[in-house]
This record gives sequence, structure tokens and C-alpha cells, in this order.
Amino acid sequence: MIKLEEIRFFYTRDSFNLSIPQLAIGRSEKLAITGPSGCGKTSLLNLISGIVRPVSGKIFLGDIELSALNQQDLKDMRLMKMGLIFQQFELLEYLNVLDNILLPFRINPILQLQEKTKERAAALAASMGLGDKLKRYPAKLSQGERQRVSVARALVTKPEVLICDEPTANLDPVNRDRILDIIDSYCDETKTTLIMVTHDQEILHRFHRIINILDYSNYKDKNELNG
Amino acid sequence: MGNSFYIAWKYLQFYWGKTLLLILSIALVIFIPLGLNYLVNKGSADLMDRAEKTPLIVGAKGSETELSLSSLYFKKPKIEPLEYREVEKLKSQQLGKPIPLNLEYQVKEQPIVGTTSDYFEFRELELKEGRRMAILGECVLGAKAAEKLNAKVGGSVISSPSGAFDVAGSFPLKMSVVGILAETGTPDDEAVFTDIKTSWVISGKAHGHQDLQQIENDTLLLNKNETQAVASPAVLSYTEITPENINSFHFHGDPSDYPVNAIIVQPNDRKSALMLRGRYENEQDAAQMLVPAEVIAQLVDTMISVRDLLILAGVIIGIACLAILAFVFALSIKLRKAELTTMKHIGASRNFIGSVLSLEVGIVLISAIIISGLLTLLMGNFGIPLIEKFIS
Repeated sequence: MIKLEEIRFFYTRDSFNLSIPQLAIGRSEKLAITGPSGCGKTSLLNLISGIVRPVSGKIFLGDIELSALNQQDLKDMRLMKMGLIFQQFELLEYLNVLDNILLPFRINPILQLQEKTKERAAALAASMGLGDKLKRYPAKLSQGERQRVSVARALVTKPEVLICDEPTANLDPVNRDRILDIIDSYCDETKTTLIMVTHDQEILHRFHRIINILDYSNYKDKNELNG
Repeated sequence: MGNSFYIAWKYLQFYWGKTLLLILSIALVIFIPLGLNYLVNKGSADLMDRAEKTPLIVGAKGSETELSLSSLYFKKPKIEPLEYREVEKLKSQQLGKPIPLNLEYQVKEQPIVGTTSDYFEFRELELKEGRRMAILGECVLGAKAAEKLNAKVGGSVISSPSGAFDVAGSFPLKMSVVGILAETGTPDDEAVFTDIKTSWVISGKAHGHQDLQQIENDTLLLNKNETQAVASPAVLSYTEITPENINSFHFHGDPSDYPVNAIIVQPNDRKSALMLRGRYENEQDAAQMLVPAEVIAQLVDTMISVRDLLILAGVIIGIACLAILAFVFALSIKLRKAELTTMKHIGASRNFIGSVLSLEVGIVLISAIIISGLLTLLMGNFGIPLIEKFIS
């Protein structure tokens, strides 16, 4: 499903250097990416989702070579095929729960916002225990509720790949498990590929495969990293 | 466009306090020069219009501006009145039609204009209801005066004393309202028109009381014989002119000596106007004749100079304010970096984000322009009377 070939990536002002000779992620696979802070976990997610481009190498999503697409096509592809969940939830404070969930449909004309989309978004929110909070603004929600909105926003486009960057880092165990249960069951039901960056050892049993990014990143002194 | 407008609108709506502050600030920056320009232009046009429709004014020597404004806007004159014989002199010269104006008194806030029925023809004033005044003690109200005094045809209004301590001066006279004028949008709407003789009754130059020869109570008379009776101050004057007592009203002294604040003169033709003006060129003369349009034009020139200065100041302040607003906007984009990055990561194009930000600015600017336009219109309705009040 996703294939990375001879990927090299680094920031020009940094000693950071990510090198991935070969990485394949299968359809409906659940992959956890672990490793200490600052070693390139988020960079790998950004490469897979097309937010950043590799210095060299190729990335494929199915038959599409992401690294060959122009910026707009990359964005369109991301919007249609990928769902992103961020550590800081990244909700728009001035949009209510329903509008935040529907945001992908509002920001790009490639997705058409229809009445049934709104119904689907409301149903998704209800399935996550947010049914009575559709008109609330993020500031009035708990941390767990905010992250559930963020998950609903990622799922509303029916993505083929769900990319999560430490989505439970700011949550207590109860909320963490609730969010992960939602993500797990969605991926199981829809055969969605899940790629998640996490520090949390307690949740690793949920994944099919775990990779440590240190096996790919190349630091002068790996002992400097903590995590 | 629909979705970017939706997001821009939601942003402005959520931060409504900041948005409102921004809109009002920009509206003020636009309104100050725009409104001032409109106000002065409209005010000048209105002032010139009434002045140009008034060919000549005669009054006591003194401030030409004062005389013009008090004659045109019925403000209590601050210059000495002329004697009525000036009106008679103008009549005898037969070079134009003199219309006397006595402007000393008021009914509450509304000016009493003691004049003749020629004034109605001169200003082409039409009656909305009733008739013109015909006998002593009758009055015709301007449309707004009737509204403010809550008076109707068949009712009455009472003149106000000229001052709280003026016990020896004018006394209140109850006047019958016999007509109400159609609205004209001019100071005539605010006036209480009465015959000049009625204004002299208010001033105490004429009065009515019991027939002294019929009085049997000696305490009311200082002296009485077969041909003459002298009333004591205990005899009360009538405060209302009725069909029963109208014949008792009489004038003391020579009416030619009675006061007139100004005389509007309608010359027969251009030549008559020139001749009339020539006759008032004599420096020894107590009266002056002026062309209101010339006097008001000077006033308007001064107003325009002041306006230009204020507009220049407004534009400079406006540019400074807009520069600050642009800076604030640039800062707000920086503060919203996380939000904009989220949109970008999810799949928003640069154009989409640009259109959201542009629409936010656009909505704020358009709202500010609409508000400044409305303020300018309000200024047109309420500012012109203010400017007239300020000038007078």
C-alpha cells in the first residue's frame, strides 16, 4: 500500500539525517513508530503524508508516486486518501464541533459538502459521544473531547490511511483508551491503514508492527537523544 | 468562494468584539473626512440656497453676518432694531416690496416672526391646513413648530416671557392658531408667524384693557374727567385677544417708532435693487442694506477653508491609523500561524488560505464603509441643523 524507497531526508540547518532504504506498509496494517524525541518520527509521518518532500528517494501510495506530484496534487491526494490526527488536536477555535469535523470539506473544492456529509459527520460525532456537543466550541470541551473531534475530522473523509502523531500524548489513560478504541475499531471495520507515532509503551500491543526510528535515523551521537 | 467566505465569516463572528472594534475604528477613519466634507458641502448649499432666495435685507448697522443669519434663520438679533418708519420709507420709494421681521420673542423654543402676509408669498409658503392670520392675536405655525408645540388649528399658543427677571417687559400673549404651513425643510418650519402688530402687542407697545370710562372702582384710576381717564397699574391688560375685547386694543405713541429687527426687500427689478443699495451707502445712515448671498458666501468660504484643514488632518490621521491596522493584521496572521498551518496540512491550498484572509479584510472594510456611509447620511439629517445652530 505504502512504499518508501531509498529515502533520504534532512534539514539544512540541522545535523538530523533520516535515511530509509526500504519500508513497506500493507493495506489495513497497523504500524507504530517509536523512538526518542527529535529523532525523526514526525518527519517520517510528514514524508508519508506529503507535507514535506524527501531530498532523494521515492514514496508510493498504491501506484501513485507521491514524490512526483506537484504541491496541489499532493494536497488533493492527502485530503482524499489520508486522515491526519495531531498531538495538539489542532482544532479551529472559532468553529464549533460540527464545523471542525467538516473542515476538510470546506477547505478544498475537491470534496463536495453535501447534506449527507453533514449527517455523516453528526453520526460520527454521536458515535464518539459528542452528539450533544455539535454546537459547542473547542474552548468549552475537555481534552478528551477535543481529541475525539480531531479524530472525527480525520475519519469524516473516509481515508485509506490514518496518520496519527502522538494522538494520546495529552490524554489521561481513560481518554487515551477511548480514543484508541475508536481508531482501532474504525480501522478494523474499514480496512484502513494506521500509522501512529507514539511514546506510550502501554499501547504498543494494539499494533501489528512496531518500528524504532533510530534504526533509520543517522545521528552523530544517538545517546544525546532522550525519550 | 462560498466555503472561504463561511470560514472568514465564522472567524469574524467568533471574535465579534475585536471585529466590531476594528470595523468602528476604520469606519471613523473613513467617516471623519467624508462626513465633514458632506456636512460642509450640504450645509453650504443649504445656507447659500436660502440666502440666494433673499435678495436684500435692511437692518441696523452692525455685523452683516449677524443681520443676515438672524433674518434668514430667525435667531434673536444681537443688534439694535430699526424703527418701523424705515419700512414706510421703503414703501414710499416704490422700488420694491419691504417685508418687516420682528424677531424678539418666542413660544417656548420656537421663534415668533412678526411680519406681514407678504412673507408667505415671498417664500412661497403653502398652508397644509387652516388660513393665514387676519386679525390681531392670530398666528400661523410652521410644520415642525406645530409638531413641537403640539398645537392644532383652533388651538392656541402662548408667547414666552423674554426673561425670568423681565417683569416690566413682554407679557405672555395667548394667540389663536388659525393655520399650519406645509413642511418646507427650511427654518420657516420652526417659526410661529404672526402679524407684526401682534408682535408689538407682545412687546407691550399695544395692549387692551377695560374701558376706563366705564370703571367705577376709583382705585383702578389715577385721574378721571369727562374727556380723559388715566389708569393706575392695578388695571390688568388682556392676555388674550378675543372678538369681545379686540376693539379695546390700542397702540401708544407713533407706530412709526415701533421696532423692526430686519426688513426683507424684494426689489422690482435689477435697476431698483441697484438704486436701493445706492441709497443705503450713506455712512451717516443708521440702517444698512446688504445682499445676504454675498455675506453668506464669505461665511461659506471660511467654512470651506476650515473644512479643508480638518480633512487634511483627518487624512493624515487616517493614513496613520490604517498603517497601524495593517500592522495589527500582519501580527494577527503571525498569531494564527498554527491554525493556518493546520488548514494547509489537512489540504487547503495557498489560494484558499489567502482568500479566507482577504475575505476577512474585505468584510471588515465593506462593513466599515457601509457604517461610515450611514453615519454620513445621519450627519446629513442631524448635522445640518447643528451646523446652522453653531453658525448662528
